[in-house]
Amino acid sequence: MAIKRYENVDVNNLTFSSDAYGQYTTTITKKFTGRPLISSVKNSLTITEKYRIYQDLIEFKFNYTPWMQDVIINQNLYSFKWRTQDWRIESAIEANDRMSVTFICYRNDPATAV
Amino acid sequence: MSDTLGQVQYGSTRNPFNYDKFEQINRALTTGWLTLDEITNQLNLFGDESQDAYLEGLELAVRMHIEDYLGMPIFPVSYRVYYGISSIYASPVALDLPQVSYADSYGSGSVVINSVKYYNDNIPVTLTTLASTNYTYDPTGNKLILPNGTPSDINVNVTSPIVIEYTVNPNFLQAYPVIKQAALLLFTHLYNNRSETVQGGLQVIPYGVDVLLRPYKPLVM
Repeated sequence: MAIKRYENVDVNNLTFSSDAYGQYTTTITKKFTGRPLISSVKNSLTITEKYRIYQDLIEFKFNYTPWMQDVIINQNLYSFKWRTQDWRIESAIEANDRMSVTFICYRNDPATAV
Repeated sequence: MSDTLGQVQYGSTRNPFNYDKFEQINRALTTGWLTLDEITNQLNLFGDESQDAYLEGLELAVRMHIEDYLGMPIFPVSYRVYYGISSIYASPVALDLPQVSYADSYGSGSVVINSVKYYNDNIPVTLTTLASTNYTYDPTGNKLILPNGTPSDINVNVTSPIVIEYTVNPNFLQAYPVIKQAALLLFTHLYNNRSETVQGGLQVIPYGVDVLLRPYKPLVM
């Protein structure tokens, strides 16, 4: 059953760089706090032979604003922070009347050794 | 004794709506009433500030509608009223303002008479200001009384020879949470529905804008 309610969510900017050793780093900077309608929360945990893979899906429905339009266009450069966890955007679906936008997001933890 | 059936005692001082026309001549068109915090919380925009300018513009429209609906200024509004020659044949002359005043002991919602002018019988006619000692405002009847009548050189050929300008001060009702809540409901409606037409029919919620504001709309007698 879907859980649907308005909750505070931080919208973060992502910047990618690599350090002197060639290791990739991602910097997360908060842009603002929004209040989307959160629904379709789905948690899944897959335990493979060697790894435990979390793959949680969720929908964030925001009002369509200029800042949200930028998130739609550059969805790879943004993440959402909800329940202390970081969510990446998988799809951005605009309402046809441009009044709202629904982001389908997933949280894919770094593979953790079992 | 003349027939006074149906006449109100001292009826000669009460001649409701004897003005020819009136117009707004000043109104706050940039001052905000609802705060951005109140608005962004209502719309669940929260920290999203990217639409603030748009929201502030919409807020002005909402505030003006609440003012017009209640006939009650949230910020000062000034009017100019024109009176025809028929309204001056009485003693004393009583000129009704197109106004239902809420004037209370705190002075909120009160009316301030800025000027009383008349067209004299010079050729060409000149708009002449009447000294403030020649008139008084009656806050209980929302009318201006000229105890000594009108000046003798008033022009009887001008359609509306008497011109009054007045300002209505903000009313204390504007701070009522119920009126602000009605404004926020209207705000949400205008924010969510930016087109005049929709394909499906909208449903009105119970306890909406009209129901919240109706008790504060003055009864005009």
